[in-house]
Amino acid sequence: MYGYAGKILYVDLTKEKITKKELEEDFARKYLGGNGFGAAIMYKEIQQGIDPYSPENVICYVVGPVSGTFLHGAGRTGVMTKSPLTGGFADGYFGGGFGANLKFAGYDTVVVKGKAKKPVYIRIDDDEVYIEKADHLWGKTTLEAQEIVRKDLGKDYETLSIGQGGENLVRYTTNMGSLRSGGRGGTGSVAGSKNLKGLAVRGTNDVDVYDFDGLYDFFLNSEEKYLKTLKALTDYGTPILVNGINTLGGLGTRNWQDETFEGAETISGEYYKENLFLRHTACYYCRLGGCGKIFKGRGTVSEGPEYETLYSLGSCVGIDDAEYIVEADRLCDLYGIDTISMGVSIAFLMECYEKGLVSKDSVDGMDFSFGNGDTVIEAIKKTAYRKGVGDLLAEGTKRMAQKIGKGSEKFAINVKGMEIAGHSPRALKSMSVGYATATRGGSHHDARPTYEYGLKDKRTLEGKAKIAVDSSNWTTVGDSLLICHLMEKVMGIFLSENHVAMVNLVTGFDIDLPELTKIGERIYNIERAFNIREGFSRKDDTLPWRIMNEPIKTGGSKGAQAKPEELEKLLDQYYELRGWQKDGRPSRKKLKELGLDHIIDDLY
Amino acid sequence: MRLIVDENKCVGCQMCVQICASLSESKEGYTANKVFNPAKSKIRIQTEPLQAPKAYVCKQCEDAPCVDACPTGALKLEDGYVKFIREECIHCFNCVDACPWGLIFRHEDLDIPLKCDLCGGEPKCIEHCPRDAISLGD
Repeated sequence: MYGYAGKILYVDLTKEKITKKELEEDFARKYLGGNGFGAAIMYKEIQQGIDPYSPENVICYVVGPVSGTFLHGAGRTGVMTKSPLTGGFADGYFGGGFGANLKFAGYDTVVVKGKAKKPVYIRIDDDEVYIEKADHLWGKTTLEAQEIVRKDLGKDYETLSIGQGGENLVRYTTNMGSLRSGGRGGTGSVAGSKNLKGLAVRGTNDVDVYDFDGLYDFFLNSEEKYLKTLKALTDYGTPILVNGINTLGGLGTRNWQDETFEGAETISGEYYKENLFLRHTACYYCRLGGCGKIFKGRGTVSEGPEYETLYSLGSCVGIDDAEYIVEADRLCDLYGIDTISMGVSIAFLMECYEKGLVSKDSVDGMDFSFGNGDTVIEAIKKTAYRKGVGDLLAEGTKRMAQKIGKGSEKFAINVKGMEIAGHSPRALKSMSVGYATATRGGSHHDARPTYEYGLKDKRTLEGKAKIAVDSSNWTTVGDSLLICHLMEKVMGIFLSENHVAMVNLVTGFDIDLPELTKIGERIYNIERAFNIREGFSRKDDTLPWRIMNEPIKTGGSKGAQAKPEELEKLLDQYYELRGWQKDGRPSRKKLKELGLDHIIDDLY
Repeated sequence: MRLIVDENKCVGCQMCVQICASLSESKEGYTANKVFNPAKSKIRIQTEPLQAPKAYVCKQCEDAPCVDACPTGALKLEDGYVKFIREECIHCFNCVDACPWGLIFRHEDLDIPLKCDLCGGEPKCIEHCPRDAISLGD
């Protein structure tokens, strides 16, 4: 089968059993790869109601049909599991080269379940798969662990690893592939709960595509466009977004008390490039040639910070000192912690502190005022080890608010328990309904903000639900092909003939745009069904109280707000476009249409 | 004449590796593979977190041990670089062992050595490097 490695690898850590199953063509056509494979497997393998930290939980490491080719972002990897942060579906994707090598080794997906008796890592060397001891890696940072493994096995291995955050079950940790972060929702801690430190892979097999010459033409035709359209990313990386989003008035500031940050200039892409830039670095097979940047600061060096971290550990905690954010970013990467949830959790506690809802004693005697860089650094260290106030921070804002009480839940900035990213749900209506409906919670990689950033009219509701639906169909397919979302301005902000061409050139499936859209819908509906089976419903498709009830105070989006009645209207529209019932369940008809009949009995 | 990779410009994207493995060809030696497989590339880029990547590719030695080791003349120094003539190769892989730099590679699918022959003079990797980090030089 062109475009696929052809095997799914199952690793049961409890039974120490390794199984390989042939990938079936029907399955591949139905779910495409990556996100789709993971979602379908998770729905089947994870029983409703299990504790995310129990051996019964499953982690899927996935690649897609495009992985291993030279298309944009073809080195990427996805990782997904039942989230300890939200209790629902969580998936994260990261660049680098791990995914491509997994494909070269011969696998489309690795499914891990059970729990090892002692720390282990999984070593994949083409056909040979081993569960290796990792006692010597436990307690090490993500970087140290990967360096040790590559020193032992050889530099031709690509690796991923959790850090101390994952070992200590911080609820928002990640798997780090090299220094690229595998997203959100606590996948690192689920690995930690299984005593799984990481994976190492070496692959030397071919990835064979259906129409190589056609794919090469496609590649050549897009090459110029990439370099032209995305030049700012090539030069500055994602930090280039800071100034623009701040001018729009959508840069979450001091726990979203406002959305214009007076210190934006000194945490902007321009500032970093001018003052702290060391070198460009790129994910494998990326012609942007490096939206990743290596920056220095406070005596350390980090790959990043990128835009989301400049928001979460910058404006959101009131820090305008670029060097502190470099150090904070570096620490999160080493501990394997999601910078967004980390920053927003600290910001939440800072607001509680300034409002007098927590005592100085309860925050270990630290000054938790907004803008205190030393506190942020110390808070990250404590969180990774769950020491002192770190034990509270490690829970994320939803649980922190439950513990602190006193009305603090009104400014706990999360959706379904996941802290929101740096794209304003008040300034961008498509993101208000986008976050609210996102299966993983407050993520900017379900619905995308890109289209509405380009619109003049950001205050009306018209067409905004459709943007959220259409962009999340694209991201679902993108995460299944496994390509980078940053290509969207060239290949399509919504599903396009470009994406169809990729699928057909690589797999030879000969599908059309409606069929590809249906695949995206199918995958998204499985994720939705996964959450509904766990007890989620329309009531969970909501936004933080502050976002719905307090207008933006100053700046370019002054007065903007995601009023509850507005959100309800957008939800009605969104559900209708999706073919979902008013209560948020996918309708029987929709599930049948998508060939998901097996799910109907679970939901009705 | 050899490939020179400017490690200050190189960002480690591996595009050269991918292009070499799938598309590099030369009149006398290699034909395009048209499959993706970095293990079949004649150029290798090793990346380390936070550091400049390191490039590994044939140095086109003037006094080349691989040429001496080749029993049939399948490797010969001509036009300023070491050419590979596929028809002459008897698959002994003496060249792989002879290279003091470890820059001639093998892949078990292939019965020929993997040695950069500059695509016969117009290297495909140079054409596709997004950072213009690769050039021809001495």
